[in-house]
Amino acid sequence: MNNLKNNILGKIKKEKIQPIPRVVFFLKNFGFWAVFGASILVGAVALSLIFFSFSSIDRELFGRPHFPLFEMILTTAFLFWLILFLLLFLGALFGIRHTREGYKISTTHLLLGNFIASFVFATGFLFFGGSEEIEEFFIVRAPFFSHFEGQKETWKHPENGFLGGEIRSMEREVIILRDFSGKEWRVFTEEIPDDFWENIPPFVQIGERIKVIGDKKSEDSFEAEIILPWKRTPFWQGEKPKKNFERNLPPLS
Amino acid sequence: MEKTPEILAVQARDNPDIFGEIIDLFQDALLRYVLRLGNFSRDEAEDIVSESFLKAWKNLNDFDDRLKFSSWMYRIAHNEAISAFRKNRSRGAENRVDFNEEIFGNLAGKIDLEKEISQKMDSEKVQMLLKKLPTKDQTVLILFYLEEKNYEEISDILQMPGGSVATALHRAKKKFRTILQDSFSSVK
Repeated sequence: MNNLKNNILGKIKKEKIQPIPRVVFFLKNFGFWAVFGASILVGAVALSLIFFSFSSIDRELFGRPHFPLFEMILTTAFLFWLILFLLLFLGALFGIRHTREGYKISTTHLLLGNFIASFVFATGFLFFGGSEEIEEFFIVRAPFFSHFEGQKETWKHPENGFLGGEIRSMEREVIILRDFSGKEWRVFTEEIPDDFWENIPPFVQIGERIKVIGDKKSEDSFEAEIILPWKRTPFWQGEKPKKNFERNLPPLS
Repeated sequence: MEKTPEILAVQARDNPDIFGEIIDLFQDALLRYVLRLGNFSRDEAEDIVSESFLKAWKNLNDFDDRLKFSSWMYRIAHNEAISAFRKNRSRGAENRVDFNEEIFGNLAGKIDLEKEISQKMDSEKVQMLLKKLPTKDQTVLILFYLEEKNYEEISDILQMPGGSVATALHRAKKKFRTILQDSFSSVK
């Protein structure tokens, strides 16, 4: 057996094998815990987007026959975050098992700790307006995220009574709307109560995005029942203040 | 003052000769453990232990001195053995060990089974039955009953939470008992 010892020591000396510096192990441990921290933050973003999606569903949609609640939820950006969170969490779990102390924590405790921390951050994001800003930030800055803009999917179905797009021009009772495929629609507003036109909400302006609930009348015309702002707000924030729209209207012919 | 393995590990960081003392302290225990894990010839087991010591030398700065050094050393040897075992299996090699391990004969008795059963079985038979268990169950039984490690040491060796060790041991004992009883019934 002394041969074993001599062989090992001989190899160490001959090949000048040195112990790996301590800093390498420190960085490795730190790296795995950092990935775990990142998974908490990503989980918080995913959760806050879920909370935001649920808390800002337009009340007018409930009870509609074609209201695609689950389609809307599944196509929102949170799904992307959720997948990213799961990947990071699994990576962190694997890594933490190999850190100095990490293996002593059970998977259940790690998962629970991660979820609770994510939940706390998510609630913070939601109440301080972070969720909305995070979603907007990514949709505006990263074109890739526009595919995950869940509510866009909901409002691409005029045949189901949901039409979304950008206002190109307006006359009293007719709004010209460009949908997300670039097609222009004439949106008639006779069904909308008169006070809508008397107190035009600020979101009804040329260049703004809106959502319209109503009926498709022909290949390029739509009868509006309700017009909603594109921007969603959580239910506890109430409606945005309205302002007189008359000054924005082009002169009646 | 007596030099504990933990003290030696700290001193060995700058001195391979002190590492030699660590090799002296652990080589027999590790060789026995690797052989108990099974499916290795003595030469293969020596290679595994040798690789384990080299790995320990390279990773000496990763040793957490809050741990027992023996647990850390067993962990490295365990991982090396499992990795060698997988390589062997992927090659389709069947290197069943032929070592005479008298302690295996007492394993059934240690797990509180009827003496009748343990007496009717020789060590080779118990060893064979042990091999029917999944590697994780075998390992935990070997560490607890044969290597006489406590829960905390097993937790550090297998890098699993302390609570999971108790569960794994309970499950392994149950499986081993079933296998033994089935085997005994077939003998009757």
